[in-house]
Amino acid sequence: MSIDTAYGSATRHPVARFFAWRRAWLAMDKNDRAIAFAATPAGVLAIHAGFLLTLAVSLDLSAGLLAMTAMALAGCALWPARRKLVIAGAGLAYVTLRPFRIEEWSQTVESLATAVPLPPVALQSAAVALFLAIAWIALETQRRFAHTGIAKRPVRAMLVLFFATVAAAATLSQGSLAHTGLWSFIGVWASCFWFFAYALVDQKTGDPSANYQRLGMMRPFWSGSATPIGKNFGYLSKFEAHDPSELAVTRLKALKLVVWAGILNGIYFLAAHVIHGAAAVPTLQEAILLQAGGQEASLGVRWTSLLSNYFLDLLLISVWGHAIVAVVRMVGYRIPRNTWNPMASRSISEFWNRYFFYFKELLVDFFFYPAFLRFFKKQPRLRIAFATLCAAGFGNFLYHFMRETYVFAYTPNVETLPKFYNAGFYSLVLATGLIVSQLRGHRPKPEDGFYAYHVRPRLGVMAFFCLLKIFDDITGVGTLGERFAFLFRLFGV
Amino acid sequence: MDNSAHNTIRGAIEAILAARGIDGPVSDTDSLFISGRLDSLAATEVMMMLESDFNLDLADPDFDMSRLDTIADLTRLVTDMAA
Repeated sequence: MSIDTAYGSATRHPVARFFAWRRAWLAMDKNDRAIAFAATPAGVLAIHAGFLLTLAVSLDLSAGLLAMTAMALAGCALWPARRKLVIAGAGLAYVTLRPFRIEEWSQTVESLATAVPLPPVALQSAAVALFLAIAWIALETQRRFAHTGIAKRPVRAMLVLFFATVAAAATLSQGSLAHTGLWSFIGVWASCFWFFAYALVDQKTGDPSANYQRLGMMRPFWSGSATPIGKNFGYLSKFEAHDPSELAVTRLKALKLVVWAGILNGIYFLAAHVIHGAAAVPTLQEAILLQAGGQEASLGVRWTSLLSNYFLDLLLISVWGHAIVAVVRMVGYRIPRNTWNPMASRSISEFWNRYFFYFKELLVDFFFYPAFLRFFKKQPRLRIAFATLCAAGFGNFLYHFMRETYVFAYTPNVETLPKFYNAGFYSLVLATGLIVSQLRGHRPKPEDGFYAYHVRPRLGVMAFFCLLKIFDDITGVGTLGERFAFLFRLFGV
Repeated sequence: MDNSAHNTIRGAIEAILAARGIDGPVSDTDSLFISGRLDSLAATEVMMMLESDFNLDLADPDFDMSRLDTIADLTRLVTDMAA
């Protein structure tokens, strides 16, 4: 079989043929014939089948989630003009069936439910129903009283309310129905918090979506994360495909991205098995704990743990971010990727932008801009530094702290706080790195030479994030002191 | 006012793009931030330019950041807020 390319006879060679296929694959969303086919009923069917098959084969999705994704995508394909309605319906089903972002919240509710005469599923369902009802009331109230201070600064109000509710729940006696019920509700709220925040901001800024549609975006069916990838309907609408040709291009991009996610997942799986399986190199967390327990691995093994943790983490975040963005694109919204070639970054702030785009956006939208627009207006450098501290330091910590508030259901006092020391330190160092990166006047230029432009800045970024990962922990297992000891021992100190 | 504001804004945006090594023409309706062409740090430069050159107060809670996405958006924002 020959491929009609500009490379002529070279395509007969298997390697050249592979690269010709690769080029054709990567360019298919610009290929008129491919786009025309993708817009036909047969093309739509073929793309959806290929997409779902790739999701099923290459990614570790549950059968239930895959079935829900298939049904939602089918609905969006059949009724593209009503895709918001389909998304909202699927989102309501998703939040009802899987209301908690992390497994620890499910376990907390199951554990607390043993003390009350209700099964966990009933508690979860009641918590979801209560949350949706309150979210509806909040959205309607914001719409009706749009000129009030709370309606204009809804996220700040919601943050205050959230932590007041956590404090109130911590005072209730364990084993009571009120305690169990309120913590179940907080679990749903914490899991949906940032989606809800974007819904409130959307309404404030005039997005025309109906509130029943916004309720379906409290945890959209593509969301495995508490970070709203694709934000909400206001943001999505900027990327919506408006005609069959645009939709075909968007779906072809989705197919390319999900296949790339599958390939990266294969690489991740193989690399993790070779490093942590065959070569028996401990994970970074294991290496830290081994050293803390007096069983220090060799220097080479510890460095291998550190470096492999960095690269495997990049692969993992790329895989799930690509998969989620691909699903959003299949629906018909050509949103930007979550991870975009982070190793190309020449500065810490560029890496932060490329590594986890929608988390960075969350921090910028809800912490950076509000601080930047209000404080230190006469001192530009201090202004940027303070806003960055608010976002990457305070906002970052708050995001993770909020997700982990289930610990206060068991131990509602200050004894729980040391669990968060690592995350606090991590956020502070990250913010400091970003501040320095942003305030540094020097940007590498091509004329600086190959090493100074291509190599040195990238190695610096990698070194910073590699070492920072030692403190990237929310479990509280492995104290700050033990992590510092691990860092120093890497350099023989 | 419109032309003068437009020229000032276009000049500032082109300077920000050039400082980041982003070449090529930019139209009035090209997305700058949502498309990822410019990052949030560049947005702060744009906001500081709006504050210093046009005396805008962007701290108003009604202010919508998505109104900063294109040169046309920025010109409209300056015109609207000056009116």
